[in-house]
Amino acid sequence: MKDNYLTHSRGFLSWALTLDHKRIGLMYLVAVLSSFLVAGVMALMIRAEHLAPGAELVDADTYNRLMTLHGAIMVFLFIIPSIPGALGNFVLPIMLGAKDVAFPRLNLASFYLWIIGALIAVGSIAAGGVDGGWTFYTPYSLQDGRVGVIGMTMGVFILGFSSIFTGLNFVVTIHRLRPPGMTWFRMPLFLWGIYATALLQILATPVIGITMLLLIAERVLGIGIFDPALGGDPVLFQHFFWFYSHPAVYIMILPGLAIISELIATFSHKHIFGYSFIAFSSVAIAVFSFLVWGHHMFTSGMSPLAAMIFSALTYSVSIPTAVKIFNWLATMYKGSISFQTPMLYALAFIFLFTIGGLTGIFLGSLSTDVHLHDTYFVVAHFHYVMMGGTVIAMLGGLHYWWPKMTGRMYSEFWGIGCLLVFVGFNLTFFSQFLLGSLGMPRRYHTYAAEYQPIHMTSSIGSFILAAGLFVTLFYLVHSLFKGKLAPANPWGGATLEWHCSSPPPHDNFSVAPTVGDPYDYSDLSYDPQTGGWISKPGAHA
Amino acid sequence: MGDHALPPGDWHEGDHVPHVVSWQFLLGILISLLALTVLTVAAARVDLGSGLNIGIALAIATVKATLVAAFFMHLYWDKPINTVVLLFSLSLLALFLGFSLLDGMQYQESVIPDYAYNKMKEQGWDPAEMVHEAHAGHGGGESHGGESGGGESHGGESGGGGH
Amino acid sequence: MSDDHGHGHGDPNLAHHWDTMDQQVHAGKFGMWLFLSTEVLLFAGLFCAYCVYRGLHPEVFAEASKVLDWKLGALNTVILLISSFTMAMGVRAAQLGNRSQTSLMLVLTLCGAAGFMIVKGVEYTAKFEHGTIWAGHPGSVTGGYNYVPQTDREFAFPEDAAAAPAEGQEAHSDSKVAALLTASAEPSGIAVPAGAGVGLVPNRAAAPPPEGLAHGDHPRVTTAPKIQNMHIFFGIYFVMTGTHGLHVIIGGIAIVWVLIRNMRGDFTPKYNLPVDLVGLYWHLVDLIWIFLFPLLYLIHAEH
Repeated sequence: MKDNYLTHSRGFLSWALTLDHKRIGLMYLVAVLSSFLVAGVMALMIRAEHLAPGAELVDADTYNRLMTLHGAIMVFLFIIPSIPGALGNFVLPIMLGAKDVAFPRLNLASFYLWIIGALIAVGSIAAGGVDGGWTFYTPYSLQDGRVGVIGMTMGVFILGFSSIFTGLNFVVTIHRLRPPGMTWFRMPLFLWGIYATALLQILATPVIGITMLLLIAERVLGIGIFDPALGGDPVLFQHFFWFYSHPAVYIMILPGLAIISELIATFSHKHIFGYSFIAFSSVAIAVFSFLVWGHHMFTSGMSPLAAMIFSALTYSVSIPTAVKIFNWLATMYKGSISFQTPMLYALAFIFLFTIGGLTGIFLGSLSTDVHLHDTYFVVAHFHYVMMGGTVIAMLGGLHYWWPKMTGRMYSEFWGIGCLLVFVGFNLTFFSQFLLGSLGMPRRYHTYAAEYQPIHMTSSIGSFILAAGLFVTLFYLVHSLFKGKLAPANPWGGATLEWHCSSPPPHDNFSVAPTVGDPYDYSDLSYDPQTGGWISKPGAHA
Repeated sequence: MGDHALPPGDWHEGDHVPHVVSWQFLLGILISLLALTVLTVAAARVDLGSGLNIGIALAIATVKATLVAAFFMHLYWDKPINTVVLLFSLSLLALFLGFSLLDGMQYQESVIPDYAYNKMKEQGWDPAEMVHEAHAGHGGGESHGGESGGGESHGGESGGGGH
Repeated sequence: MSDDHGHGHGDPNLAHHWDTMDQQVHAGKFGMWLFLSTEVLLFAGLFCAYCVYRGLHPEVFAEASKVLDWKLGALNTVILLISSFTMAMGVRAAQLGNRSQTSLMLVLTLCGAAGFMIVKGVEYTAKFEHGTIWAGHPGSVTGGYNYVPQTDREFAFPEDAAAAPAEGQEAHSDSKVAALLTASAEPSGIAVPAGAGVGLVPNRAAAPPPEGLAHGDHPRVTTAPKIQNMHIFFGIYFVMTGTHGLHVIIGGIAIVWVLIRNMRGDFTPKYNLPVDLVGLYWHLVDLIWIFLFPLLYLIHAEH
């Protein structure tokens, strides 16, 4: 095999101290997928507990801790860093035509901050017990006996810095390391999405940092800013928290949207429809995301005036989101679509994300939200967006770039794992829409017997979903050892990462790449000999 | 700073040697900053009504901050993108402050007394009865959540900041 | 660096993925400005809390601010402004390649940082001595658990709350107040603001009352502030100045780092980016103080 980034240097230290964005991306990938596994197992325990109305499997306290752990790990350790940290780190500089990110050492620091934050957060939950959900609402999080809150918030603070450093690196990279010819409007849409995400990471995350610091100060010292017993204002905490955490929702979903734009274009083998609309809609979503945080607080005692303003602003987010969906549909229209595994995930994404987005309108409306708030409807909604959106997109992206990262092809046949995931996911979470609209409150350990059939459906669905994910894990790992060697361009993509070999060499490009239209597929043709796509002879003068 | 309007030195794009400012110019900025500090202290000693006093203090602080950012921090000679970054973060600060204030000024009084009431209950106290004791004649009853909290907890008192 | 990222450009300070030093310098500054914007937004949270509470309790802020010594605040402002100037001079000297002057200016800036922290320490000490601190602190006389408003002395306490009765107890409400108070205070010797009761029963463990605090001992009644809820101001004062002080310390450490590198001779007129970046950070610390000073120290008009 040719010299590539995997074989360039050997030994543990060559990985632990690497400054190569590809290796850091791979380490991130392993780290975030491990978190996904841990938090996923907790979700399965929660679902198993809900097979029956009573408290069969775990007691109430354990249930609350499981639920908190599941939420906190999924949000802070998995979804937020998943696509930018793992796939973004790997792909972004190559797509851009750069040799590395702007600040490689900061990039490595970001990874180690993630590790430290993860250890502190998980360790403190395990030791001290945090059971109020991932939002740490005061005054509950200030009460005695929940000492784990201190460690947990410290962990989130550190993870925030990890996220800031990743975002900062990406913004500077995109601004300053574009090679000649790579103008803003020749950038692949993935980069636009990651750019918008990085802006959010930089501008929103510091606020969660200070919120967490204040929460620690409140707990340890009693400074009286959030503790109502000391004249503090617990609703102000919610403002602080959601000023970050609503944009954080878009930190989670924007990279997912960005991946889908790549997948749809590549597997339709057709130029993306409405390039600039998709590009600007990413930035627009980032801007709007700062204006709508109050819709998490409609029932928290917020003033009616602010509630009305936030409700009205919330609808504005649907515009750029819909722009993306319609442009993808227009891209597929009359395209020559190949239904390979990444495309299956992309189609699943469009279906699931649309449901997630439309049910968001119910929750963004002041009047319906008062009824649906804190029910399973909310749980179902954000799982459709977070899991049906971000996680499905991440899986799609992982399948898409897997040959590039590992140099191996997985078996297309086992792509049916995607089908299991899709069916299992809908069983799990669509039933929760029904539960929520019937009045089942979220975060409860037990439930009334009449909910049992729907709860069971949901639990069985979650087992199917888990089976699909384990099948996926199995065939991906299997491909590492037994998979066919991957060609440089297995799918027929036109962005720059397909120009370099699989896996890429240490310095990405030995010769500066020629930058053209990232969605021009006209000069690519399938080469049955290598199983990949190559430039038509004579296409490049 | 009119006499320092155009500091000496050149700043070519792509020049490896960064723009160097003369020390006299930097000293001039420092003197201006110190003078503005004297001014802001003096202004605070004159009672102009609290709104105007805050306004003047913040205006002077903004001028000082602009001087530091533009000349000590070289924004005046830097690529404009750095100024854009700073202004963008300030606009988000304004957004954060604006919405939180809009809401915070309104819900406060209704939220906290109830909390204090419940908190006391939780501690095994009966706020209604205590109000009875403390302000004999002001009757007990369940509807006293707001009043009792307001009378006895600081959270409650702080809620009624306007009184 | 474990990775043998090759330096094909000749200059060891130029990382392999940049074409020119100029590109690297601009990227470094741009990255620093992005980081500074995160710092601005970090402080945005504190300014937000400040604005909300000042809007709600203007009288508390006007009154409590009098406790602060504006002269010390002004002194610290002057110290920081001068240190900002010496930092700018240090950056200038580094750009000119004047190593000894750079070192001198960095040392002067460090002195400014130290001076600032010393003045801050003097202020904090006074606050702790007088108990004009945040509410949750056991020595606080400003509000929170330990404070009962002077105007509301007939506040009544239920029998069972006075778990640790003081010596020589009577069925007198003041003795219960003292008992409750001592129960709430940590046995740390910090002067207990007797005569101050609790608005809410503190959920800290009851400690035995310190000896000598008998019924009738009210050492702090006269010094206790006349206005309620001053702790709100002091809570905000301490988090704002505390977070800022933390930044001063971090800035000081960063200055020490570039000072060492400068003395080692790492910097040239072409490569002095670290001095520049640390300078930017230091100026930001100054920028924030420029706003903190009038907001915290100069609230009330002298009548």
